[in-house]
Amino acid sequence: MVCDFFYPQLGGVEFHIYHLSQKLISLGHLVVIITHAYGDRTGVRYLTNGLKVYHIPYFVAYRETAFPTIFGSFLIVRNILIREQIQIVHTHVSVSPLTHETLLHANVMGLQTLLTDHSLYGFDTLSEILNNKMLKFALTNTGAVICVSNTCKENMIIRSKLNPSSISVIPNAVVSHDFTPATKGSKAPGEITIVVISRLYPNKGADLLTHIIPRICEIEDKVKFIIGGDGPKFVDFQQMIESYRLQDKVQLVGAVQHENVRDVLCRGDIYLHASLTEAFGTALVEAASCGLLIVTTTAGGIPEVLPKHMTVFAQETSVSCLVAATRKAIQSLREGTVDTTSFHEEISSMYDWVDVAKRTVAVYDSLAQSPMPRNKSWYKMLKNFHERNDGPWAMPLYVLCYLVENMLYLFLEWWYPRSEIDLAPKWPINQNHAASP
Amino acid sequence: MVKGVPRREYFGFSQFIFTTCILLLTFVWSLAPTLSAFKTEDASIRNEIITFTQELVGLLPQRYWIIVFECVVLMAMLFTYLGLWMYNEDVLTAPLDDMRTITDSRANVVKFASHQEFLDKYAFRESSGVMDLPITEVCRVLYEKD
Repeated sequence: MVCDFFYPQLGGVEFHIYHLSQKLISLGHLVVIITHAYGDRTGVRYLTNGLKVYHIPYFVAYRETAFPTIFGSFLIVRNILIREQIQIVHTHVSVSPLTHETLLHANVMGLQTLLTDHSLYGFDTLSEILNNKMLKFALTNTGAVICVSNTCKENMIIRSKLNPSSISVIPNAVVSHDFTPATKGSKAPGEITIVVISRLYPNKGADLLTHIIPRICEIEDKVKFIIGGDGPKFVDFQQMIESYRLQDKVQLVGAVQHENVRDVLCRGDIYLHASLTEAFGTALVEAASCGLLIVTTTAGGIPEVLPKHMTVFAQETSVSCLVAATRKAIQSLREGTVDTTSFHEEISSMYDWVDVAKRTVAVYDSLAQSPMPRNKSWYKMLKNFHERNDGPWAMPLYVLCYLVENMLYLFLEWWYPRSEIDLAPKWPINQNHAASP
Repeated sequence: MVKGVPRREYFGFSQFIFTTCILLLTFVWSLAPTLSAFKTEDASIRNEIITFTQELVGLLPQRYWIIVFECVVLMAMLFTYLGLWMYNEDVLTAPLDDMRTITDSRANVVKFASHQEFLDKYAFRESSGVMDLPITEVCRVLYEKD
């Protein structure tokens, strides 16, 4: 497992990697996570269940991603891959430079590779174009791609021009026993609390929210808001509260630690989600698992995630539609036409990490069966880059980078031979203590 | 802003044209022969045109700078690689006797009373939050021979 994003940073991707790794270990695989160092969290850490995490000391450039050089991380990544006798390199997130570089290194080393993508991206800004080129480069020889939703898969096909048959869809999951609904009874009758938990970025619909909240407060009485999360738009929310005098109706709780998310969620009845792009929306599943009715936009992969009776969709991503949808949800809760008590059971039967891990293992197996020596010979991979045919400038660059990488590999094999790298002892698989499923 | 006008597409297209022009200009400029070689002995309108073009080209920086710029970029790349490598190795990597190789401020180390309890509860069982195992116990699991 390789990704720039891992604990101590908190978020959907980080927990996806963590839970997937834990379940893979309980299925009898050995898993090592490679990420970059966060502050003083550097070196090797062992997590519960013997999950080993390498925090590579690496210069961090922008928003916790490693400084992008194509070859810079080869030495250390190669050492780790050999030390741990890795057979399959599973990388995450298509915007992390460490991911791209490791894919290239692992391919040159002749290992099986796959990538899981977690988000949707556009095509029209300079950074997106650059990133998509990088992605095409990294994915040219990658064995398989996993996307978290069908929308994400379509986005991936357009961005990377891959053969759709090599892309599988495996959704995220939630630890449902961590998101149990609250025991009801303490609330005033007729009072509805709406919860918003999201990082307050423009792409999460923070601007929409600052317009929606005053309008709902104006129309509906006995409605309260709890807003969790932090980000560049936090100030806008404070200003909104000031200028509309909503101090007693809207409560800002700031950044919420993942283990406290459930408690915040359980204080509400409706979860409002105004995100502009979303590949999967783990937060929605968590909220539904806590027995909240979901009001959301239909952006991205959200409509695939939850069954219809748990959600009220806004027809368009606009203030008026979201306000209408929220009012509809408030109405139906007051009239008691929706029963949210069964949500938790349904969610826990739908989303489960063990299931995710099993499906991932199926992808691994299909990779392991592919004809290795033919697919990973350096000549074949060079040919793949040549046939990629991605514009007159990109193709020679791909070929050039690939050749340099190969030369570097040969140099490292001579300069720091495999025989000089110690093999790490493996965490014992203890049958007596094997985790119950 | 007029609705329906794809401003970003126009912007991107102009960026594309602009960079392509710069690139072509650089090629032409660096490869074109010295203009004075085309001057004839006696005065003519052709000489005047060449002199005028020379005046125009004289407004640009000297051609020498193209080579300098390319060399600087190449060397900068090389030094970035070396510098990054050394910075990662020598500055960011914690020395072996450093506290950071053992634990850190964001660690969430598990608590237990005995080695057996550690084995039962944490070593082979996952926790739903991220929790660290203390390195001493990890070493006992990995290296202890009975």
